Amino acid sequence: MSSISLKNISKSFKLNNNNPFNKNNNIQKKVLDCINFNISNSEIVGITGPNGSGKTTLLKVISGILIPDKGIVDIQGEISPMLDIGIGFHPELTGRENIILYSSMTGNNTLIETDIEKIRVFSGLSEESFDQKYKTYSSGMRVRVGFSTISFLKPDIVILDEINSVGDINFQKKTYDKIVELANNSKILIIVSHDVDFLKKICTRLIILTNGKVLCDSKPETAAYEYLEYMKENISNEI
Amino acid sequence: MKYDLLLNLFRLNYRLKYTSSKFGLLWSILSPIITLGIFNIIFIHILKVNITNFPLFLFCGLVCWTFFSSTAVNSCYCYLKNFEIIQKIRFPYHYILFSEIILNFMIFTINFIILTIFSILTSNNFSIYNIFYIIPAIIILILITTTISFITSTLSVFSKDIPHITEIIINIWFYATPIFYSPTMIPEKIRFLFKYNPATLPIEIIRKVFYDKTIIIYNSDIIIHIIIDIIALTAVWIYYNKKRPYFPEFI
Repeated sequence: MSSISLKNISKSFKLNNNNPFNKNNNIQKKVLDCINFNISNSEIVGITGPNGSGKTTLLKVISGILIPDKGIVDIQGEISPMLDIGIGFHPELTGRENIILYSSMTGNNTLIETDIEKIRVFSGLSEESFDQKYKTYSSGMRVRVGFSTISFLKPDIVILDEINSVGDINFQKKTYDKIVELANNSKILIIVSHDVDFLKKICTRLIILTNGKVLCDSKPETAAYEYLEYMKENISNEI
Repeated sequence: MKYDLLLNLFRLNYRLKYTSSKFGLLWSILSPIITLGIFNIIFIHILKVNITNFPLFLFCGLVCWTFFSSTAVNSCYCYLKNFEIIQKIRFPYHYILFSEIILNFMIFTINFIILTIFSILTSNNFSIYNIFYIIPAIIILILITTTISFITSTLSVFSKDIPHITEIIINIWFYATPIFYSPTMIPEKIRFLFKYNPATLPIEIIRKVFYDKTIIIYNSDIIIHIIIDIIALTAVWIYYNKKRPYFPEFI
């Protein structure tokens, strides 16, 4: 059984003052402000919100990469995050070498050659490009290899950040099927996306984040409606 | 121990350092030998020092020192050059440091073999009994190197001044260590300055074995040294574990 429980999570960043006209040297930006929620087994949770609302920071806190200033994070289960379209691959290694390194970092059993071949085939990369250094990959290739690796290793908790923003239509279809399959194996899935329709289709629950706070946390349809209303109200501020 | 992870990180580290260079590892092996050549010219032909078989005397110190100093300096960058993975995934980061130490130890081993051959070739009364003293010397060397590397690597994550400071300290430390001179040459008046240098003892032991070829008797020194080293390493390990959760944020 895997679960995620967040209690009163707050996180702020100290910013460097690079503006010579501003003498204030202590700029603090509150990115997360009292976040509370629980996620239990076999939930597919979508998270969306405007740019700069703290989505990626929240995912980093859940993944244990960032330590919150306040609050308690309780995670049950092995977790593999995919943040900013990468899962922690080294630019100087090839796709194949990266997958081997990644599986040893996450404590999985050693992958044999056929496993890596399966990952490659699912990613849709040709063998030649797969054995190039990761730094030469396009963002589409990075997402493909990253998602293929995660979906093959099947961690208890899968975190996907902006996965459908760079993959093409065919890969999006494949991802969709794979996400459904992962969810059926009673895993927790957290998907961050700006594509509200995609989230409505795939998620069992939708969390809207604005200015580091949870605006709404409910059924996808209700939350999506509230989010669009919120964005309509705020459009005047942007113009 | 996760040997898989260690092996994979070792491969990564090796690749980052050597793949794009033609002679790769050879450069690192050559480094103390080149220093040996330069120092030889300066000390024998210009300063005219009065030490018999000076090249061997010097090489004993240089082999140990190169391992210690290059590990300490390289460790500053070991987390920094892997920031892409540290920022994305949580894993025992110190394995990166271990792979760095192991790589440097490999180079040390090769140089050590060269030293052994050099020592056997240049003199004849090589005592097998003394060989056993090499083991505690190497243990001490590994312990102090690991301790210093833990400090420099961890601090470098939080302050980018540390690599520069480390280089300066290591430079001063080089002259404070009896590498091209013998500890008995230090005048009594300033000997206290050199007394607590942890790098002295392993170099002295190795020099006793390979250069003086005399039987060593300071067993209690060795034991005290090892105990202090283990305490220091434990303290540094605790400090590292306190700082570890903040690595991805500050790197």
